[in-house]
Amino acid sequence: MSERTVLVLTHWFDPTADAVVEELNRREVPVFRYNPGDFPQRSALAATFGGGWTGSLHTPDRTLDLAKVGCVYHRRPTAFEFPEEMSEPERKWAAREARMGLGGVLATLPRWLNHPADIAQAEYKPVQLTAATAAGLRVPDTVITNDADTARSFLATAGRVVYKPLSGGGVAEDGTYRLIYATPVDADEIDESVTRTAHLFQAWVPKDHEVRLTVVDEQFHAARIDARSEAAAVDWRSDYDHLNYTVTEVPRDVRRATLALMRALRLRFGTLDFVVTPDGDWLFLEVNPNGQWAWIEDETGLPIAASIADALTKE
Amino acid sequence: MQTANVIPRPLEPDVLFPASAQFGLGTAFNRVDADSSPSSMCRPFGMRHLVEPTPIVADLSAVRYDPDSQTAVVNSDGAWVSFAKHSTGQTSTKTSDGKGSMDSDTDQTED
Repeated sequence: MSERTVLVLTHWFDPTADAVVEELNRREVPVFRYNPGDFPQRSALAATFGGGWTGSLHTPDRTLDLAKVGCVYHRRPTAFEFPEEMSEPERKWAAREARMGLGGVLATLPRWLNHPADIAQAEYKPVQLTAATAAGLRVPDTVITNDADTARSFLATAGRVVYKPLSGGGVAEDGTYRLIYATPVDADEIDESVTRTAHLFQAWVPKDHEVRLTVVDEQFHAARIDARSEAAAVDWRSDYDHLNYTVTEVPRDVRRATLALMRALRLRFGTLDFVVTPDGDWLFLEVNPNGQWAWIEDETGLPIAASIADALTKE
Repeated sequence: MQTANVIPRPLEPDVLFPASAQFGLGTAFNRVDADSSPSSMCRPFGMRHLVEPTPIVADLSAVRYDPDSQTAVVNSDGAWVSFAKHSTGQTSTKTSDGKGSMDSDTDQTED
């Protein structure tokens, strides 16, 4: 049993984090679950510098001794919340101070899965694609542009092309939350609206199936995903009801390159998406440094929560 | 420990503050999205492809946080048990009041 506390940064309703907390509880590892959204109104920080930071973080239910933290699991922490009575400038200033104070003290903790600064860097798709290629992974031809002629030219030469958003998340508009999946586009769809921001176009790769690979340190958990609908065949995220999951193996060269990619991006955890062509070639699409994985464990039995618990308690 | 007894107010991301990515924080859980702005004539190409995901609805009125286990638990026939349902990338959790103002949260960083 580890004596070091695992600090889990997430909000209260995060079933994916629950799976890890339950595993740590089963192992009798000390856990402190904390959401920065509770700061400063429902939690208190008391940290003192004397060559290093010591002190504690208090919530109504628990107290964390900062010196006893072994590893931080960065899941889905939410933003600080301030009194309604504060003005907008007051809230923004208070948020900056909270980020630099609480976030700064937490940033000094020795081990993370993953460190938020590394997550932020790895979220950039252009960075991912560059690092993946350097690591030895194959990547589909890709264009990022706000120039309509460049987009048309790429579509003319690449054949079938999909449009993908560069950022995660969706859009709240007209009271509705919506997402953008990978979407096939034709050259005649391209118009001046492309000029209004950066757009990513990627050559379509003929696929036999896709693989969602969850990497935790050097533990690989690979799930083959076979689509049973037209929408899922383009982007499996668009139709979860028509997917089959099976455990699969990662070719040795892909494994070696994936580890190099993870090292380059300073990630201890990541969920990676690959297309496997009818010829058996693996092409890297993207890595999500804070991706969901619990449903993969449910569908396949792959012991991802246990791997994460291992990583969080590694001395 | 003393904490303020006031209504929490979610904070908008401060996009102009360069250090924000060093300690990334998401939007407040279960935040009501009140933005009702319609689309403009200047809409970027990519936004043509927005689609509404199929939500997996969880009734949060039956779920609470258990401070002992530090996990969510759900009331099942009078007993509080582990909330075992895991989210996919498009999970939407809702506390239903039966109206259009239904609270909602969608995991925004999944893909």
